[in-house]
Amino acid sequence: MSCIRTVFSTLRRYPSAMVGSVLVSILLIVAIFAPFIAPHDPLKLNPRERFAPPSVEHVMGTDEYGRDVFSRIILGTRTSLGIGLSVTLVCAVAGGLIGLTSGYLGGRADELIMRAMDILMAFPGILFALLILSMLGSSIVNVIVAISITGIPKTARVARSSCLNVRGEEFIEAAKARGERTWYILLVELLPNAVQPIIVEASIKVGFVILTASSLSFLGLGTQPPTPDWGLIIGSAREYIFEAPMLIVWPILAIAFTTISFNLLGDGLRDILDPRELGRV
Amino acid sequence: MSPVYILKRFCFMLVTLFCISIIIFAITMVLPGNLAQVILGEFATDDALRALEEQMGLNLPFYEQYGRWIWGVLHGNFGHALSMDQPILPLLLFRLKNSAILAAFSIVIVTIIAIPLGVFAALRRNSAVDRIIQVSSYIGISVPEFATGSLLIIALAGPVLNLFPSAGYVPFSEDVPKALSHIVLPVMTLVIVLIAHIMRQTRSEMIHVMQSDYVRSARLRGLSNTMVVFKHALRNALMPTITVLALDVGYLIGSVVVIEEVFAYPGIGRLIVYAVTSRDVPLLQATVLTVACVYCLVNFLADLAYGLVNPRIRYHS
Repeated sequence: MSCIRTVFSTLRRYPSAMVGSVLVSILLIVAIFAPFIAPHDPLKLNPRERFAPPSVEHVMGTDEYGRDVFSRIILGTRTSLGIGLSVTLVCAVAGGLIGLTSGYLGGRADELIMRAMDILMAFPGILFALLILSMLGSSIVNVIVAISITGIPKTARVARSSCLNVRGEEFIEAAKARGERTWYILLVELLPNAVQPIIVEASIKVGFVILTASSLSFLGLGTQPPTPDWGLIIGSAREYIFEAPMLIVWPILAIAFTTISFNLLGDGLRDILDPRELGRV
Repeated sequence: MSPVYILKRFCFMLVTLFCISIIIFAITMVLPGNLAQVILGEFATDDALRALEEQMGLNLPFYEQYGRWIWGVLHGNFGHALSMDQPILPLLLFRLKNSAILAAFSIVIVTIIAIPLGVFAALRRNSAVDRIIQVSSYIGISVPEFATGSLLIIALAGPVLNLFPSAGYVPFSEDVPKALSHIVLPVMTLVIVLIAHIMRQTRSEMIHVMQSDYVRSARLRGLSNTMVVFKHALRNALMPTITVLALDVGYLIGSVVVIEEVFAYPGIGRLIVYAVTSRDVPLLQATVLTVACVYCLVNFLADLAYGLVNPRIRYHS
């Protein structure tokens, strides 16, 4: 109980973390229970009811195939959050391990790994993702792979600098003196003490990943139809931009709501975990 | 700035570009049989495929294929675009020029607007104006560029308020006012996307610097507020901003790809998307490599600029 109370009292002192965590919880609930919330089948075509205006039956109207827009937006939460969270997880784990190992080993190996990361970062992210997708083909899994590869170097850098701060501590020396193995020192001693910046970086990344993924879908190179995906909805509604502008506005609102929620949570977490940064940005 | 520093950065740029060219080539060539298949279509006979592979050197080992390709590129020969059957270089230069026009207009406008706004927000911290600037920049970074572009089309190019053309392009050599009117919306979109970044960065750096000891000591010496802000604080606050501006060029390139697609603007970004969708491997290699070169060059220049304003870097490292 006291643990929960601490969480709440901390959240109260950081309004952006508070608002962010509430909004993100709402999004998670919507994503998990999407099929039960959506009033209609998001894939069901209904040629007789194309471009229906908003009504009680169709809260946001229908699209060019007569599909219920509201249901597609709700189900789109799953796609967006699924991609955003899995990419972030992959980046945090892979980038975290690379960065920690690199920082812990030091010397030549560190130099080599970090230079490789620099080179990967010398590529505009979305371009790299495009290139990888052009090779792998477009699907949700490949979008996750492509964006993860572009995101790992940054996480690795954060993890490395965090590791360098901890590496010199006495308990690491003690572990070495006890003759512990390298992986044990990395995972049991180093990781728990260097994990905070990685978490902050990850939480800020989610919104960015969702934006990138929606751009790729918009270009027609990411998620493929008929998957309910916000970027994809905008991409296909573009043809009817003046006839049915709301078809574009709804998914934009959904994207903005989602990224703002995650950005608030990320900023809040940074303030809580890294008080030095408080007052900056 | 010491020549050693410049030389070091330059060499790093060359090594990076070399590695990137290998990555690009490797990714696009992962399936060597594919290229011949793309050219001849799926009903090609095995003999025809093999003959074409031989002719194009697709059966050679990877390093030899790469060598041939990069040798051509270094001599300005990017090969032929498969899908359009024309040499790539002229097309590439034309598209690159168009994109550069968009990028140049956007960067200049962003710098003019965002840095003063950021400084202003920092000096009037937590005032109503600062809050408004903060919130709008928050929204600015939370909406993808294609969404901003689409919203601008709906608002300014629709049947109600048809101020600017929503798509297409007119060359500057033909008709300057018309050319300008065609780039208004894409440039506006880019500006909105980038302004939030630069402004947030300038603001946070400025706040950070204004709390530093040397600004406090400058104040204690009785210097006027203007003097403190412009002579002491701004110079130091701009250093990280330059880095962010350079990083934003990478971001800008990504945005340009998407925005050119939104406004059907014939720039290099649209060419990349075209190359991906039509599986035109030589075109894809050429366009992506070009963009990577631009990006590396900008980063190199940013390093130099950073070295110029930050004296600490010039001597050590």
